Amino acid sequence: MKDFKYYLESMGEIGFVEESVASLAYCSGLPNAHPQEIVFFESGETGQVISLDENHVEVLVFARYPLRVGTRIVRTGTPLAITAGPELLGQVVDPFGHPIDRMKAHTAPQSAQAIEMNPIGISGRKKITKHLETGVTIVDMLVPLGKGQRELVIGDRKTGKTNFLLQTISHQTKQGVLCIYAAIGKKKLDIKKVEDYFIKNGISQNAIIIASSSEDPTSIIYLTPYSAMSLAEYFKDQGRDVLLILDDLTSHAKFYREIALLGKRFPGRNAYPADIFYAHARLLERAGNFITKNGENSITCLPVVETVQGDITGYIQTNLMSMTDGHIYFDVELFTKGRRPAINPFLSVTRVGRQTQTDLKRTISRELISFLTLREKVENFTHFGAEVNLSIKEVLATGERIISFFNQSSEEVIHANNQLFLFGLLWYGRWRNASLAQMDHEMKLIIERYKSEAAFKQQVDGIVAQAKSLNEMLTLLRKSQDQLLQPVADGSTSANFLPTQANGVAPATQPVQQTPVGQPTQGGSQTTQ
Amino acid sequence: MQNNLFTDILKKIQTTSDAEQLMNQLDLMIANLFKVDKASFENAVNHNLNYEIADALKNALVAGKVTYANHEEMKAFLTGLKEELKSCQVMTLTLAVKPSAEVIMSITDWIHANLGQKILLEINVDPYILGGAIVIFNGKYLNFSLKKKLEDVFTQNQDHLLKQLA
Repeated sequence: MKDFKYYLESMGEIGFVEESVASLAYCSGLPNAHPQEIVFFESGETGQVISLDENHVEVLVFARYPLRVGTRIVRTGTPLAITAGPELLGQVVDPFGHPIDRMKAHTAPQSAQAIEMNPIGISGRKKITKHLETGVTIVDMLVPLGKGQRELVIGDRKTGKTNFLLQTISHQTKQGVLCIYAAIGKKKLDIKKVEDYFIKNGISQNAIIIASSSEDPTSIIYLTPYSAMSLAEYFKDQGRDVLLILDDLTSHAKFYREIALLGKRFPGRNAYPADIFYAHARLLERAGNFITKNGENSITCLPVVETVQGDITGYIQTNLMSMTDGHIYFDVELFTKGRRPAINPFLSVTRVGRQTQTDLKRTISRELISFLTLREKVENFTHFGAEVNLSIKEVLATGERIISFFNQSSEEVIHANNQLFLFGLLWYGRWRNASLAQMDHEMKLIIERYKSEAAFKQQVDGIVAQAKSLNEMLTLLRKSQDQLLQPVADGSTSANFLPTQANGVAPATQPVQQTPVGQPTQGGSQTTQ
Repeated sequence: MQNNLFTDILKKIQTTSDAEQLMNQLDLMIANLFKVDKASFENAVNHNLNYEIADALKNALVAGKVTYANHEEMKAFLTGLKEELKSCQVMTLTLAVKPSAEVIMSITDWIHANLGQKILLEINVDPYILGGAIVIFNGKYLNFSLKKKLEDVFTQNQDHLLKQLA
């Protein structure tokens, strides 16, 4: 960006600050200013024209302190843009693409991307067909996501939303997807934690953090998600699949409300401006699966929204639900019960994710949802203290195992094929007579083995790829389990699956059950929709 | 009718400092209307304003048939004049030297003849522009300074000048 004098001489227009209120300035002059244009103040600050009337130009000022009345202002003739380029990978930058930590060595990118862009029309888009793995079992199996989907992550504060997002980023970056994490008005400490997580997991070279802290001016915080989306569009045009996290849009709405009220906009519901829906919809509409010159590239957007005491019927919450392709609900009640991640599959929705699933995954997903519903009913029934028969006991025990199967630490990322394999073993009844602790232990060993042993991974992937339905997978597991998981003579489960074993295969400790545990009376047939 | 009454006064107001002086005086008069009579009013304007402006003001009061004793009429007249002054546009002129009264008058005459009556001049002095003028009006910035001209010449003929010096 050039200096004030340059723009003054080249544009031949000048204005003066007449009134300054927090992040807004009302200026006289600048007869040819147009909305979205950047303006430059003689004190060095920049601003963006947001509206015009007969006498004044309303400017959103990107300055920490209000401007002095009488300050001179010039037009630049350019729209607001973020510097974009591969140089930003691994960096923590502000919404203009400048590094937050100015002490670090940084090469400024040469290209720039306009922050305000019109969403691409329907002809430039393609149906979402690729599955986006999060590495979180409950999501990949019950609320699957597709590349290009906009999925809201909703829940009370401190229910594990950010942990889930970091797991997803970690898994996706390792698969070559570029991840952009937009921290909107977050505490500096939280931003630092995310940065540290990226460094610790070795994913920072495939990720960018665009951050505005709570100390930043309202205008900069307001700009953050738009900048992040612009950056995502830049990399999408470069032929990359992008995962964009907007954390979070409730804060964004609040900051936008502040600007709107200061700008004397008429307050609507909860004092939010009338165009709050438009402000968010025009942002999220820029995500999707697109046809680019490099083929098909997607921007998957996971906006976060916070609820208060589990109330998902708030204004911003319902607005965002209606403009996204589903939502993942983090239930505070499940969190207090110790479920990790505390995702409520019954209140979560995915509108396009299922179309990206294979037949096997779709069948398993349906089977699981149906079983969990049955378990819920049975559990409610047993609350009355009724005597339960063997079949109900079986359902409750399996339910407990499935819940335990879905429990996953925030550090752990599980590959989709491994998730299916583990589910197959569970459904098959491998751990029917084992304790939950034993089951968890064995599962962890299998997860580790899958990560570290290429041959084992290949075999698991082979089974999953070969199976067209759940029954087929169970049959394949029955046939290959001896080869995959050899029983040990003493029957102990510890270290059975350790990758260090000489033969590379692990023993099974329990006799194989012939009937899938979830359907004790139906022989594992698929009956639910 | 009121607007026509003020035309002669506005013609005499050339610069923003004239306007400020008159505005201050008008504020004082409005605040002290309860003790205003013809003698005290004329005394105040004669002592505090440029004689031409003072005359124009007194003539306007006569032409408007405003009686000094009627405070409401006086207040309406003075407030109206104040509003007229506030609605004037400002042309900022930056010059290298302080202009004389004659220069200011000839500039304002030209402005009133070509751009309209309700324009006030704000004159700044900046010796660094060497000569010419920088004009700011209606958000337009026009740099006719000698400094700019010389800079342009040096920029355009830089190679040639450097060759000459080498």
